[in-house]
This record gives sequence, structure tokens and C-alpha cells, in this order.
Amino acid sequence: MKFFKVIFLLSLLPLIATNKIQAQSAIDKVLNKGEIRGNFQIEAQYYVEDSITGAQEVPEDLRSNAFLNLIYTNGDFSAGIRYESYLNALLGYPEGYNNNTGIAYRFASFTQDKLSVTIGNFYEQFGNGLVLRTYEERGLGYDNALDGIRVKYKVAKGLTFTGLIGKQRIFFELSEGIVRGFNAELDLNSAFESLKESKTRVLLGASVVSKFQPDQDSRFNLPENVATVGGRINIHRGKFSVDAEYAYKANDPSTDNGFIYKNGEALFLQTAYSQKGFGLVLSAKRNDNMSFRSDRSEGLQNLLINYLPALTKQHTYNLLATLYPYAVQLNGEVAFQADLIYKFKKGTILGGKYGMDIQINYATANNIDTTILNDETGSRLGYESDYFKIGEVYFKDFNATLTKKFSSKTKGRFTYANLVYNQDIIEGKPGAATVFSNVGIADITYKFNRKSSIRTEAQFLITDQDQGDWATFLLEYSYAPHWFVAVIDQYNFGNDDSEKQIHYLNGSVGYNDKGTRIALNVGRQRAGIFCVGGVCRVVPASTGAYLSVTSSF
Amino acid sequence: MKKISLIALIIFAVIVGCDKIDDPIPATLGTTFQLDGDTEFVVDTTLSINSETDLLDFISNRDWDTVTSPDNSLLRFAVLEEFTGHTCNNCPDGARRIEQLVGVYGDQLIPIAIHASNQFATPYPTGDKFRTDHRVEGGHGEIYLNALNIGALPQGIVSRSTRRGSQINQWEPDFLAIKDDSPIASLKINSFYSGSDTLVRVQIEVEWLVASTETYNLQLHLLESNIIDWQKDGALDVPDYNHKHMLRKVVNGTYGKELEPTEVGEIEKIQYITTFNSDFKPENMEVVAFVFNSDPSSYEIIQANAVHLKK
Repeated sequence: MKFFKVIFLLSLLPLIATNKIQAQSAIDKVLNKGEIRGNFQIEAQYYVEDSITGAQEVPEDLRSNAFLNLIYTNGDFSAGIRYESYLNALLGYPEGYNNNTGIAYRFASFTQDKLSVTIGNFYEQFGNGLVLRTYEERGLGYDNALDGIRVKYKVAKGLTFTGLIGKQRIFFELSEGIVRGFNAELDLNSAFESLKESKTRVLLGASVVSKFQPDQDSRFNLPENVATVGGRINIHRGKFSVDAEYAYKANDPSTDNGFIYKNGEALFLQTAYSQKGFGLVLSAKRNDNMSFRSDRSEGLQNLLINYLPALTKQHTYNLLATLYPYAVQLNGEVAFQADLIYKFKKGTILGGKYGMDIQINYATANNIDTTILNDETGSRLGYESDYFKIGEVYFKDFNATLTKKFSSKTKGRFTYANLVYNQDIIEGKPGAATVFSNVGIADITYKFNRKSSIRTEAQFLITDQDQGDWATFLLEYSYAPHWFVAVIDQYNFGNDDSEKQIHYLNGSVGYNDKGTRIALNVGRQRAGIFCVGGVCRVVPASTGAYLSVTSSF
Repeated sequence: MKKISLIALIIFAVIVGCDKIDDPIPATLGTTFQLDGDTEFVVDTTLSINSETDLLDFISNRDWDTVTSPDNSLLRFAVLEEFTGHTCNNCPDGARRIEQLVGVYGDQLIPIAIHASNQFATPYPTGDKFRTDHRVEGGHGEIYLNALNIGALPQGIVSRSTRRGSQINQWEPDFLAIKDDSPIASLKINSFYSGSDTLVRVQIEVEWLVASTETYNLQLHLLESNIIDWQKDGALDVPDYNHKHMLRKVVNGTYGKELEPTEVGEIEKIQYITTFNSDFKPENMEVVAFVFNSDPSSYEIIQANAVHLKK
């Protein structure tokens, strides 16, 4: 009721106040409870042509992406906007953003007792996202926010219902299709008095999401309503946890699947054990025909309703992160991952004086098994798949990272990785050879004193395929808490074509102050692939100057 | 308030729908008539021709100019399906290569420019460039793109004799590999156009020259050339690029019409009466028909022909 009281009071104050000063004072009292928070970001790049790397210049010379978030909160009421500007979008961003500027995201929401309502734009995720996940990943230019209405209601202790309806964002427009969803989440320990003190915590969830898009196709009889249902369980007891989710999608012919009418399904399993100094996570996933978009004719990262988690490690060192990262294959994939973290204690043989951490990760992704049905003029189910068989290798990544402090001033981080990367499938390059590579990385930091330190990275990627061998060297000097300056060179020394044995030299300087960060980079950026959570975009080669400013308040 | 919210949530749960489709392919892509016993007429359902009498009146009440395709009873004609897009920087190189190849090999090589791929053929939502959607209506281009294993554009496939798309330099070797094959069938097209209409009658005759145990489909396309619009060409955005051989209409469904089993000497005659968009210019249009192996593991085009829609 607080929300309505605020609105009611604001609307009546000018009438009941005996004079303007009294009215203003009363309004101020209400408004003074509110606060505005926000953040700002601009990235601008000046492009020059570089005949050696193939980097393009752009007609406008300078391009920029900019964002401003403003969120007003007053008690249980909040409202906000995000202003976005792409004049024009940085190279590599989806072209649909180009030449657009304006308020791309706005919402208002209030909570009243057990009820919470949001109108306008919102992000939502049911479970792991197998049936619904809308989110923003700015680095990818990814934003599939819903624009509509969301209602959450706490039906009983431990039981929450969520209902939503809306259209998804595509650049500065909305999708043709409509998304409807319902989610129920039950916390057994809260719902049942007898389980309140139990050491075993159990969460159950069930979701259904349906999309509607008119059938205007003369080739096929298309389903205008397509539903996905899912169920999940999460069990947690002490150091041990299990997470399982299954989703099923009804016939959903689309550009992604070649307009077949096969049902889709996805299964995600994860178990984890952790105690002080030791952690082990084992994960498995199988998805079959689970691309689910609010427009059946869309591709790339546009208008995805669901999200299929990547079971591969998100690397941060540039050769590992941007040359051969894995992109989740929506049409079918079987993936496994094991992730082990162990800490050697101080004073042990391997731990030494300061201790040592080791992280070992192994991830694989294969195609699902398929048997083609040759029924394109009939039922168009496309293929059959044996659940317990796997198809061709898409990706393998074995990597180990050792983190060790050698003295009070020196610490190091050493990584080895062995990658198998099916370029034909992952990058859609028919006939391209699978890349087998070995990667070694040394990252050493030396601290001169409390304020200044120097960090160096040496990275090598060795392969006989694709562009051949690469090396990266980085030198970074930091003067805490404000300044850093760095120079990085990436060198394609093993390219079979001697003209492509190029140095990508880039220098950067940055300044941090409280919530503000300013960074300037000058030099070459090589072409690569930028991925977050298995969702990727191709970044073209560029040469020039790049300025980034971020600030929050 | 609580009860209302709960009811609203339950309604949310109930309204989410799902349609189960058991018959993906529409029952008919045209109305079929048999007039003189050996020609099957397939008539566009929008033409309000509901009987043989309507059909006879329709044909006899117009003056038709006829264009006939070249004879290919001794030669295997090939189709080069070129996948392209207006924001594909390197695709004009493919179009220029096609013009060279057509200049050398003439009627025996029939190009079809299929604008497809979300990345390169999607029109820009705003601005004044690349706003036109050149993708053929119905999404057929995207299906061909997937079914024929087309990778990064520009890519093409010659008579689908390979199961994957190939790069520009491979098109001529792929054509030469089949150029001298003896044809399994001959394919003749007569295009009948009656002046100012936005419709065409296309008479197709397939004569089997060699016995085969395979099954074949007949595909009919309408193409248009001399479409002046934006195209990326290398680093340039060209406003007045001449788009040629653009696939404009897939007349008889994505995978065409199933033909009768092959019998040497038999001639199968089919006449399509089909409409086209009034924005298309008949003087720039071509009719392309081809016969292909209907086995999805093959789809190889074994004979093809093309003719201008009007003289």
C-alpha cells in the first residue's frame, strides 16, 4: 500500500495545502525519501585504415557506444531508464544498432506486501535459463529484454509464482512474437515447518514459456504458439550440492533448425563438493534442437528466449579467450566439464612459505548423435537421436593453472591449455581444419612497494592449423590506486604466409578514481572472437585509438 | 487484491498455448487441372480459377507472347546457386565472376542469386541504406542455405553436385566437372506472357533420355535482374549497384513438385500459371526450371533451363 499512499499523497497535496509553500514542503518530504543512482559508460574508437592487418577505416572516422542508467528508488517503488547511443556502433557490434540513439530501456516497479509488479522493460530468468533468460551483455551487444508486464506473488511460505508477458527487444525495435511465461518456485524448507531445521535444503521449480508468432508462410503449416516446459531441483547439504534441470520444447520449425518439426529437449546436471582448500564441480549438459526465439526467422544472437549454459571455462588471457573460444551450439550438443580447485597449505612441500593454488579444468563438447530421416516432404521431423551416443567433436579444453606467491614481492600464475577446436562448426567455415593447439602462459607480478607494481605476461599458442603460432607479451605498470600504463604485443609468428606474420602492438594508459575509470588505448587490435557464457560475436581487426570512460554514482 | 493477483497468475499459466502440427506441408501450392489429357495445369489459388471452363476462358481471353528456351537434349545445363547479401563486402566479387562465366559458357550455366543469411541479407531497420529486403518471400533462401551447407559468403554451389557450398574460384572447376555429362533428361520451357499482367504461364516439358531408379523433383523459380539498390562492395557502400539474377519467387514450394518415375521417351508436361509482385519488372525477369534428385542426401540438379519471361 505504500506505493499507492505515495502517489495519492502527491496528487492531493496541491489541493489540500493552504498555500504553495506548504504544498511544496509536503512534496519535498516524500521526494526526499527517494534516491537516484546510476552509471555512465562511453566507448569511442577512432579508426584508421591498416593495409597490413586489413583493418578498415570507417567513413565517419570515429564511432562510439554510450550508455547512461538512471534508477530512482523511493521505498518500495522504483523506476528507471537506460539511454543508449550508437553513433555509429563500434565495428563488430550488430549493425542493427547503427545510427540509433534514445531511451532503449525503461521500467517502473513496486512491491506491496507479497505482490511485486514491473511494467516496461525487465530481465528475468527461470532456473538456469533453459526455458527463459533475458539479460544484457553489453560487450556482446546482446540485449533480449522483455517489454511488458511481470507479476511476482508469494503465494505461501516458500512458494513464489511469477507470471510475465511481453515482447523482446531487438536493437531499437520489438520482436514480432509475443512471449508469455509462468514460473513456480518452492523452497521446501521454508514451506514445511518440519523441514525448517533440516540440514538438507531443497528447492523445486517448474516453468512454462510460450511464444506466439503469426504463420504467414506459404511453404509450411507453422505452429503459431510454441511452448517450452521445464522442471528443476536443487539439493544442498553441507559441502555437497546437486542441481538438475530438464526442459522440453514442442515443435518449433525455424531458420535455426531448417524448419523441422522435431521436439526439442535439454538436460543440465551439476554436482559440487567444496570444503576449505578444495572444490570439485562436475557438470553435464545435453541439448537437442533447443534454439527458442520469439521470431522463427531470426539468427545470430537475436531474440533468443532461452539460454543454454556453456560448460567450458571462460578464459581471460587474450590468446585463450579470443582465438578459439567455444560458442554453444543451439541445434545440438553434448557437453561435460570437470573443475577442480586445490590449495596446497603453507608450510607443505609444494605449498612452501605462502601456499599454492592449483586449478584443473577439463571440458568437452560434441555433437549429438543424429540419424537423418529423409522426411522433408512428410512429417519433417528431420532426424532421430540416440540419447546416450555422441557425435563429432566440437571442442575440448584441458587446462591447468598454478598460482604461487614466491616472496612478499613476487607472485606468479602459470597456465597450460590443450585445445581442440572444430572451426568448421563453431565458426561456420565449411572445410576448415580442426585446430589442435597447446597454450602456455606465465603471468608474473612484482611489487616494488605498497603503491607501485609491475606485471608481465608471456603467452604462446602453438598450432599447425589455421593462422599458426601466436605469442603475446604484456608489460603493465600500476601506481595504486589511480594509474596504470601497459603495452601489449600480439605476434602471429607462425603464420605460413610471411606477410601475415604481423605484430599487433597496443599501448594503454588508465586512471581510476573512486567510481570513475578512464582508459585510452592506441594501436592495433587483431580480429578475434569475443564470448561470454558461450555466446559470441566476431570482432574485426582495427587500428586506431580507443577511449573508454565509465562512472557510477 | 491477493485473490485477484492469484487469479491473474493462474490465467497466465493457462493462456500459454502450444500448437501441435501433424501436417507440416500445406495440402496444395496451387489448384490442379487436367485439360487436354497430357498437360497438368497448376494454377495460383489467388487467380479465382475454379474449373476447367474458367481455365479455358482465362487462357483464350488473352493474347500470349511466347518465349522458348534453348534445346538441351544433348547438353547438361547447370545451375549456379550463388548465396549473397547486400551487406556482404565480398559478394560483388562473386557476381562479377558469374558474369565472366556466363560470358564464356552461355546458356549452359544458369545463375541464381539467392539473398540469404541473417548476417548479410537482413535489411537495416533504420537509416537510408540497405533498407530493402531482397530475401525471397517465404524464407526459402535460408532453407537452401542450411540444406546445401553454405558457409561464409560469398559461396555458391554448382548443380548441387557437391554437398557443400564452394568459394568463387571453385565454381568453374565444379562446372567443368559436369559440363560434358550426357543429360538424363531434356527440359524445355515455354513462357507465355500477356502484356501488362503480373502473371505468367510457364509450360515445362521433361523428357527422360536415360532410365534411372532415382526419384526427381521439378523446381520452378522466377528471377529478376537490373535491380538498382545498395550493395557493400569491398570498403564501399554502393548506392546504385546492379543486382542480377535475383531469386524473386519460388513458384512450386521449397523442394518443388515430385515427377513421375522415369521412363525413357516419356514426356511429362506441366504448366504453372503463377502471379508475381507488381514491383517486379517483367522485361527484367527470367523463368528458371530444373530437375533435381529428391533424395535429401543428394539434391543434385540433373538438368535445367532458363528463358526470359517476355520477349
